Amino acid sequence: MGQTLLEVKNLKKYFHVHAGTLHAVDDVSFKLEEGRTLGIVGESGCGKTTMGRTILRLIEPTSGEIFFNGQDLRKLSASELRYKRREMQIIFQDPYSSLNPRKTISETIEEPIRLAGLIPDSDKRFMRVLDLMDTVGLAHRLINTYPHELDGGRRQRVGIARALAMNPKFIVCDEPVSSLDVSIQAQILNLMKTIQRDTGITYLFITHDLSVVNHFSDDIAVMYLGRLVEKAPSESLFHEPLHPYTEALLSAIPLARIHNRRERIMLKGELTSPINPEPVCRFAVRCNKCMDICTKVEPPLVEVRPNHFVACHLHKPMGS
Amino acid sequence: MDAQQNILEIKNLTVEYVVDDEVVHAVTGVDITIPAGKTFGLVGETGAGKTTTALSILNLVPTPAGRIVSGEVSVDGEAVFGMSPKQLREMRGAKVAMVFQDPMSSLNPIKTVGEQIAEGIKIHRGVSDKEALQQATKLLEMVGIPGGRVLEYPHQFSGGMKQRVIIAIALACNPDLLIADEPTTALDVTIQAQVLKLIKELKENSRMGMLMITHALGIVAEVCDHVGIMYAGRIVEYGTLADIFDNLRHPYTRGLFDSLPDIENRRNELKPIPGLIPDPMNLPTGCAFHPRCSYAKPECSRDLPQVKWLSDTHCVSCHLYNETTENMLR
Repeated sequence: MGQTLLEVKNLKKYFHVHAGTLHAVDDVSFKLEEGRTLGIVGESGCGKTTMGRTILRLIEPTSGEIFFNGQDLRKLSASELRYKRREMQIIFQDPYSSLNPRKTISETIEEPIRLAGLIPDSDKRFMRVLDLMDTVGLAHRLINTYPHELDGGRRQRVGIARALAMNPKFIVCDEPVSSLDVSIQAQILNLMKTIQRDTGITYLFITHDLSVVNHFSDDIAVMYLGRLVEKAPSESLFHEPLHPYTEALLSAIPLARIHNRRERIMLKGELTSPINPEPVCRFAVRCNKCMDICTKVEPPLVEVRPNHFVACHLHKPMGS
Repeated sequence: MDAQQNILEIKNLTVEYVVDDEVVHAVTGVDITIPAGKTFGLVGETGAGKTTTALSILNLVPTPAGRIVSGEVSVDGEAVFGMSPKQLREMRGAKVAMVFQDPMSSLNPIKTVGEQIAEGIKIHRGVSDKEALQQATKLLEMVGIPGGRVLEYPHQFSGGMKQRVIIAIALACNPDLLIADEPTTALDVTIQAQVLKLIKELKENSRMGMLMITHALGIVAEVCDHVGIMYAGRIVEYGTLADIFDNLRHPYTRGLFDSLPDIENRRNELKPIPGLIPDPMNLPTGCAFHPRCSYAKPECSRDLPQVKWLSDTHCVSCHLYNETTENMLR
């Protein structure tokens, strides 16, 4: 077990909307060790993007603590936080809207280095840009092109180069390959793995794609309506899912094969509203294993096997 | 009912777009046959020409930029390209219906879902408003939405339910052919599973043919009977579900499968296809896939590969099979 790089404790982000309080992230706690990848999966509206941004304080949390290398990010002043952000970067889902259309590729990659004053000499800075373009597999001839001249895969490479520019320790990857074709998706995933192998970087990998998260992450956390409902090493989660929602989610993956197809668990209905949720299990109304207690008491996230956490009344904590 | 009849026949279809005096070869020499009651999956990446192929069936290729250069399309034995505007209007929505990718933008926000389902029924069947609305209610129930919601507006429905409404609109006039362009791409997996199940159930015991356009091989495995793999405007491999999933022969098809993460063994490395899809204004000579192909031989950059039939159902366009029908992929 490595050193803990990120620890999130009881993180909450509530939005006040017309109809009440929207619980986007509700009491989420987890630890992430250096050099590892934690995948966050869940369907649209489960709060995974809000959580990623709240961890970086791009959105201010309602309450909770975020320890990065042992330091509570919420206690940092604005200027301290800006300095700290060199170590924490983000890659966005949509490479079409996350790049400035009026800046060339080199300007985009150079900007964070210049603003941070890391390399004052402009020639050396240019060399660093070329270096970063090599790392992410962008041909040097593209250095003066604009985002609209590039396809989605190359734009996402620019986004990755910009995130790497500060030599960060930690990157939040918010659906980095969702808008790409499968052959390009595989190229980008392999690139991100190589970077991790070479630099020991830590990823928080947010996605709705279960086969991608399984391939890419060491551990996976499943979110449902703002809550973490299960967290385990990838192998355990895929081979022995404990939460009925995880089971259903895994069985819904369309597999690209025509033999050994799995029985599918059909979920009733759709996501319920995250506004003013009752203090009961949020999945209960769609759950095929729902019991009396589920509609009365909210199950806490407990460790039921070593490193396997689940929030479900069907499962009791270890040693109880 | 003639079980042998083909609902859709596309022969040697070629479509171009002219942009700034340059020609985009969107679709070249495509042949597709869909028998009654069967689903054909057209698979390919962005820009492969899938949607242009679908639009050609309805003669909806945008003009003046787009131009159908050659080929024939017939729906239920009737040639589409010779139809008058009136005949086309009668065909669209009645004989051939289309489901688009984005459920959020293909519904009219200021009309109730009932009105939108009833619209086609009124136009094509000439029934009264009241009767059309009754039929709309039944269709809504058929796709799993309570009939009582027929007078609600699209914003009152979730994404999955909107896509069900769109399927109800498409099925309103009992079409012979349903074209579904990435119908579940915008939906979450659990909702996608519900919609795919619905599509399969609706197709049971029906002679309706379906053209399913998708980039996801997992969805093809689930709903399709036949598959065409499209690359740079051409179909490079064509066969039954078993031909493609158990016995694939084209290096590009192999590349698509190898790019997918293995759900059973997460440590298996992804083997992406190197490079990018070619610029359709400037396609490589010979086989358009040769710059990315690890099997490329000198003739691949020189000559266009011919269609080679490996069995009654399975064909491939690749120079590897010029002299043999054996599997040449390592």
